[in-house]
Amino acid sequence: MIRPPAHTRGDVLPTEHLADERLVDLALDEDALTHERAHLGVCALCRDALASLSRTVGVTREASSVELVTPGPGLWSRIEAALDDPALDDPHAVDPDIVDPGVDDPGVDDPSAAPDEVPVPAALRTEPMPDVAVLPPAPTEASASPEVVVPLRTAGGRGQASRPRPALGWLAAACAAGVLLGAGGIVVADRLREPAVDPARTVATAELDTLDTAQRLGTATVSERADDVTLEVAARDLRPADGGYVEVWLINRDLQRMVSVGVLDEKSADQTFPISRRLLDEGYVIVDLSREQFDDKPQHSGDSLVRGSLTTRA
Amino acid sequence: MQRVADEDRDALAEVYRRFGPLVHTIAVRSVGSHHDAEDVTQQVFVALWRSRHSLDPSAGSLAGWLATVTRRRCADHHAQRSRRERDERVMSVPSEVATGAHPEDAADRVLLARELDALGEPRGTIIRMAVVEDRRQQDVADALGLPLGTVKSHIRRGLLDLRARLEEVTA
Repeated sequence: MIRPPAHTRGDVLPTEHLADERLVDLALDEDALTHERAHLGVCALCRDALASLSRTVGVTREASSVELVTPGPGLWSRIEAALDDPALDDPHAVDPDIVDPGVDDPGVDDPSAAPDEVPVPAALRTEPMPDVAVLPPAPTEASASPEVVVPLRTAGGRGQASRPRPALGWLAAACAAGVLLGAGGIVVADRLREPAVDPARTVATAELDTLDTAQRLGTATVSERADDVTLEVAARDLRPADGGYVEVWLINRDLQRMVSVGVLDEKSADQTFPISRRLLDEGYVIVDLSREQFDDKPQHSGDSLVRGSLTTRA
Repeated sequence: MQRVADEDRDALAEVYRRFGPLVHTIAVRSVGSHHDAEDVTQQVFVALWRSRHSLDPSAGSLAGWLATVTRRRCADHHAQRSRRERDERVMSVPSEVATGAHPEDAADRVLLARELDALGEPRGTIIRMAVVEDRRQQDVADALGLPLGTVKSHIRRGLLDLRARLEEVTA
């Protein structure tokens, strides 16, 4: 346990974003301290984060009285019948601009259209599929249209050379394994034309500023891919020194503890360091780059070049 | 070819089994009638079937997708009903089911109800005590015999998970 350089104490607190943990406290039952109120007064990011957490608390309270209702026993066979009815496989039904608002889908409400044992059409994919799919827009996009109509991915699948694969096969596999279907489970995309190859998720970012002049010289990004958490540091124009090297630290928000993450190669544009999720959970959220000398002293030199607090990406 | 269709159909059946109550409860609370709610539920699963080639397991939960589509179908349903009432001067029929305040927010509430159940333990219990029952975090820690830090960590992760799910439901 190494104390950080004393002169940095005053520099961090007044402008620091509120940590998630603190925002949760405020959303639940605690009053903001004076400096926190001051920060919330000037920081829209933290205000929005607090507002969304307060809303989550409110909706969760309302949710507690909701009893889930199972649909009636006949509904599944009606759905199956609708899937097998080519008249219902109608792209108009998914396009709010084309559908006649006065006319219901024919047959949807007709109980006689619900035979139990309709054979699955063998020509599932040789018949033209509707060229639209209904997907919600990305959460950040405001859309006036109630549903976004996007072209289906056309690569593979329907060509004569390619073998058909079950479109929902991954769902079936997940169901069989009994995994994925809970909170944070299966995820569904709206980025159709991009290959889904990059599951790395940005968890938090920090802007790295000099302590004295608050000059922005870099950024730090925490990403999560499967179970691996990494800290990527991109910094430029760091104040040079005779000899020595730049070390990357994570400082706890209690300003009492810090850990060394690694040594930064000043020549490369950015560098990635593996870190432990636990560090973040335990409050090591301040990224600090220090100038170190080859002096056999493993602790922080006290010579911080830049520093910034990690904040969760909204 | 037949096998492919069968596999997809089995997958859809499994999704319906697991998520049918989520979709149907949103619909019931939003449109206020079991019959109309079943129509909405049917439309949502048909929409999922039609979208199956474009689903991709990397950009949001299936629950969030279903809740969003259900909310939109319910909004369509309301719009159609008010048009009919306007055009045909039909008197509005009182809801047969209590929808609660702000039925348009049913998707949010029902989705989180399901997610609360899916949080697992001890996180679910901790969230219920701290958030739903509004007990102080120290109080929850004492009652459960857990360190305060552990309780706080569960509350934070749980609320952040719930918030992430909530943010997937778009208008």
